[in-house]
Amino acid sequence: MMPIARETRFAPRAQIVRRRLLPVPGRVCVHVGDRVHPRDVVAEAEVAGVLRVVDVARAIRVAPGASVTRGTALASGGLIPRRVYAPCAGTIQGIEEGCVFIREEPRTLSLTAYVPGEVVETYPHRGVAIQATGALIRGAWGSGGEHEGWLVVAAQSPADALSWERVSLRHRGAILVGGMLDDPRTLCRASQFRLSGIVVGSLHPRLREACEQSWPAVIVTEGMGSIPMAEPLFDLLRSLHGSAAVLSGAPADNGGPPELIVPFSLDDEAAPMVAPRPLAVGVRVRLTREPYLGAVGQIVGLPESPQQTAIGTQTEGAQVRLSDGRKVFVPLGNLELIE
Amino acid sequence: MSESQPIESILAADIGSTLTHVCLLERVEGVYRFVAHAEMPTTLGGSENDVTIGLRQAIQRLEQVAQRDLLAGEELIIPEDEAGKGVDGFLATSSAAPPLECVLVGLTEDLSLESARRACMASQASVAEAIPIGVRGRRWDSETVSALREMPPDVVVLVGGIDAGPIVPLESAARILATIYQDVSARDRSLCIFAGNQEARRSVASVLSPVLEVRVVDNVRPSVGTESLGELQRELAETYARVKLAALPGYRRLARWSAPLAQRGLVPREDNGAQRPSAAPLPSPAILPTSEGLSATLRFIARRDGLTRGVLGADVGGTTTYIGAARSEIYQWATNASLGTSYGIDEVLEYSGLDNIERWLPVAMGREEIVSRLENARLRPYGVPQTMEDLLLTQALIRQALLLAMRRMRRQYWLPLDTRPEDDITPGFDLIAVRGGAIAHTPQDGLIALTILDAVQPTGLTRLVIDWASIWPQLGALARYAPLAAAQVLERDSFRELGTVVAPVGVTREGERALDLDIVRPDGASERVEIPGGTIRRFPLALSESVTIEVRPARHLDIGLGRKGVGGKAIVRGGNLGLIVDTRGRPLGLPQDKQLGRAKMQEWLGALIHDAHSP
Repeated sequence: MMPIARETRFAPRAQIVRRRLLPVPGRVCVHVGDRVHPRDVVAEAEVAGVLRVVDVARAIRVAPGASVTRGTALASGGLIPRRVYAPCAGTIQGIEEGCVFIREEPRTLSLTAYVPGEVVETYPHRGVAIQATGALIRGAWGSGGEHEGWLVVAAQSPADALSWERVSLRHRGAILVGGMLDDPRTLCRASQFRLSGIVVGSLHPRLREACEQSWPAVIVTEGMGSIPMAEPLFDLLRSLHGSAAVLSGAPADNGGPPELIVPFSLDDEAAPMVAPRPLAVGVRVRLTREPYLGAVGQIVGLPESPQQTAIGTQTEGAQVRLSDGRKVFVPLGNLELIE
Repeated sequence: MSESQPIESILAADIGSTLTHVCLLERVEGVYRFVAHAEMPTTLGGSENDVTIGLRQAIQRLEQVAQRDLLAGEELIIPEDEAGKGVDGFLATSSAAPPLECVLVGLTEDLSLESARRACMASQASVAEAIPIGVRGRRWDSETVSALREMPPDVVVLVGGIDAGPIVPLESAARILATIYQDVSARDRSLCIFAGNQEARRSVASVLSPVLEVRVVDNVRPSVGTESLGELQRELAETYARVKLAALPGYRRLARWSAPLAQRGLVPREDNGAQRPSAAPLPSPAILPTSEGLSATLRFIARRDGLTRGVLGADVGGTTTYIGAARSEIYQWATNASLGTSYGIDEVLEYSGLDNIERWLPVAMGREEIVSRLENARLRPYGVPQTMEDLLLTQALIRQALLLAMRRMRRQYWLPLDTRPEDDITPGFDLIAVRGGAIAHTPQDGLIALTILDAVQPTGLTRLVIDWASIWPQLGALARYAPLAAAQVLERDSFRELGTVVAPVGVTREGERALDLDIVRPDGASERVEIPGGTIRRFPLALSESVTIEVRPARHLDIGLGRKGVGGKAIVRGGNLGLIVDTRGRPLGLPQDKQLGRAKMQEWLGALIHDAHSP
């Protein structure tokens, strides 16, 4: 059977390359070979200021093209004499229908390195590629932006819920790891104490919206509901307890999944992160659909032809030996390569 | 392959938002046949952001299934060589591109903006914002203006005013839009479609054209009581193909692969090599929208079979649900972007609510469990249901996506806007043709049939077919270049026929007689059965068999003849499920009590999956 290529969901040690690109043409601030830290600015661009509208149904005292400073009188008059002032400095872009359109002064957009590493490529006017060595964990779901912090494993087991009592002021700036997240108070505390992020196996679906609106970045490795974190992944994170890490709850630059990176020394030897890799007999996989959702196993067979599932669907798949010893047939669409 | 030689083999791909399907078509003994099919996840986003990666994986799988080399490295072998490697032509349809993002600017919320919103909902477009500019509703606030400027939509739709009405508000809106976009570079300019008062066309276009690309179409509200959405929908569809599909990563390779067939299409030929008399140049985009391909197929079926009541087609995809209806020369359609069974789950949930999904489940499932399962299906859209609960939940989702899409279709084309709920009924069609990844992966025909009966709610006498090989859109695209090949494959290999449905319109009561049915077989053997209301009955009838049926409904029911209590005779063909009689009434009502509802769903499902009625 043809080997089906899949992305690895996590790797304990790999070469990771991240492209950092400006949304508009600008200036690249680093050179190939430079070593950068997460907060270093690698590129910047000048972007147009925000366009503001001031509704002035009175005698207008400015003209298109004019520059204004904050507080400049835009209009005055009417039955009850009253002035309307510019809410910001900028240029009058137009006056239509009694509305003054003010273009704020241009601002500078700074793009940081995000991942600590070495600049391996520059793209003139657009950005850079940074190479790092480290552990990589790709999430199934995420929220929030890019953050850095110390990894703190706050769970005893992969099924351990991250309760609110485990979040305290001493975790300020940390990335907290737990098995499951189902308590909104945990999120409140994480926001209150300004944690950098939370990494859990699963999230209760009613907390999805709260996560999207709250401060810390959240990465969910398995899915929604009450699914323990995959054991090999939990073991890896536990072994990295106390390490510096970066995470991105939003899709990465390339539109990929949310991720957690624990960088190692640049001088560490590591295999390049080759994606995708073929599914093959012997590789470890995570099962992503009921009734085996969250289970981890090893591929022991790749049948040549489509097989029938328990409910009668004919589909291509793999024979997987689960950690409890059972051998089950799993459709290819329900498998993820885990390392 | 020279220009005069017939095309021996064609690879036809459909690149969906979740799955990529490839079908191999070949000339076998002078007739084009479907040979093999394969599917792989679509590769869009992430590190594999190129649709041709997933396409090549699907072709590699097809090579194994068909035992034939099609690729040389990363390239498709075109034309087919003497050793039989490769294919003579390639074509693709796709629904993988995200919908067009539209901002609507209009005079009145409940008239012009509402019409524009309906046009977008029926197209491959999503409405990011609707800005009413009538005096009372003026919304040119800083937040709106900033969003318009910082994140320009793909399309600004400017509507408002009846024809021959005042034009000043529209000119004013045009000037404001011109002010907002005056410093946007030409590369980043949005398209503005003006679909308002015809009198304002010239002045609005002259104000906007220096800063936006402007297209003018018919007024969506030429008068207060008239709505005209066709032109705007056509323009949105054309823009989607031009802007969004052409931006799909991998488009260039697709263009290269499809060029040989497209070049032959410049001089359309019959498949015997004879040049057709009217050789007008055909458009040759690398990818045709899936909906356009499907619409060509549905129109062809309606014409070929002379279906007076027409054919209704439904495509439930991962992100988009499309409905098309072909009747004589009229084609009506609605594309519901963001309504689907994987990436489109959120919108189905938003518009339906959880209760309306739960009501279709024949088994008890906690609300939190339903949400978790749906969320996980959305996170991993390539997944295949492995448990009966997941399968039933997927079917419930398909029902709701179809119900919402059908409701929009009825409102837009078939029923007045103020239709009472009890009159919200699907008109009769001769054929209902359904397709989509989740449908094709459903293991039992009975389950698919019940989903269609519940969601589309056919009336009268209707045949049900499904696109088991995911090939209908590609055949529509192929018909532009090789109509005979498309027709031959469609005729012989592309349908899975579920059977014929008889469904009376009206309210039925359980236990009370709904209709009497006589079945007369060709050998003269006959059966007579009285069927009560609130049931589904199945009568085995092979695809090759035809029988004469006579239906006599109760006096308050209409079997599609437009008159209550009037019976009729018809010759019907069988299918995998045979003849199905659905006396649950139209519109379909479900029990309010959840436990009772589950019991009824089990009963109806059982009737289609297990029990065939023997009188």
